[in-house]
Amino acid sequence: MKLLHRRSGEFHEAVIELVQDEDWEIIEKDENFEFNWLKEKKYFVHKITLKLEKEILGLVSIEDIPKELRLFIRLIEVGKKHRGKEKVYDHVAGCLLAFTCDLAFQRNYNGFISLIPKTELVNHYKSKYGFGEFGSHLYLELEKSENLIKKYLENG
Amino acid sequence: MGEKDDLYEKLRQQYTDEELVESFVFPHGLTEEEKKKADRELWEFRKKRLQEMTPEEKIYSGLLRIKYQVKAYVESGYYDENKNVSNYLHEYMRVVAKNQKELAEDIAVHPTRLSRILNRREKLSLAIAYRLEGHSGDLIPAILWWKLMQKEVEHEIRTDEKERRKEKKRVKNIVYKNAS
Repeated sequence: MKLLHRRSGEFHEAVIELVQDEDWEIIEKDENFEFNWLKEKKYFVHKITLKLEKEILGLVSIEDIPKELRLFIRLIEVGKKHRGKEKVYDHVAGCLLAFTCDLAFQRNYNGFISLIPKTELVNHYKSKYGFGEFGSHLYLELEKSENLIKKYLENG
Repeated sequence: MGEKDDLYEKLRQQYTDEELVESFVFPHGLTEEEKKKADRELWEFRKKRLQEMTPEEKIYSGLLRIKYQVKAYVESGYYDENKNVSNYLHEYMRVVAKNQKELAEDIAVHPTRLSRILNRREKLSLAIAYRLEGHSGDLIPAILWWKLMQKEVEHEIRTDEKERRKEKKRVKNIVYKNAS
């Protein structure tokens, strides 16, 4: 997968990996992250970094719900440097969402992922990532899930 | 208002809604009861969707499962004896609901040859990898079958001393001999 370096317009290789024991102290001290990620330790927390570099650009906390055949996204946070108008790298959250879709196919969940959005953001998630809406949840499955993978993980 | 909602309100002052969805999925903020209800409703919806899935959707989903499992495996640094071409081909046949004879016919391979590949007595050729790619409607690229096979071959090269010794015995002339 590749992230867009906005200033140069170039795409740089990135990797997503499970957060390891030694990462937690770094995350706790990292001022680029504002949520208390230690509370997510019992879930599947993954980090995205540039290949061969250590800086964590973003994090995702995933809850596996096998009896409902779905992955629930509890939390995504992109580091401060990569948010808003001044962001250095683009597509960080998109890659983390697409990675979750990939996992949901691997686990035989038909690519089904869900999240519960803030009300004000519902339409933006739908238009940006193609989410469908049911009750309080937004969800992706099958083609919509694959589209996200193609867009963010298979972009060269 | 909880700590997490305070942070959300603070971030809303800094970023537009579009910028927020490009950087965050926020904690859900529901009460335990509300969350349980939302999950129950979604599960009912999900069950209905699962029941309504067409055979084509099941094949599509099954093929993508194989694709992403193989991709994750070939990109990983570990070797797993069970994650081999033969097992994934058996899984492929299960997903597309074809037996050996039917698959052999679909991809124009002699049934004996397919049987040899499935029994690990013959390696997958590039031609068959291309045909499997076509057979899956391009959902599983040939390169993944190829990399999966390469991983098996690499493991064999590292571990099969018997075959190495056997083949080396057939060498008639050694062009360079290490003095030490």
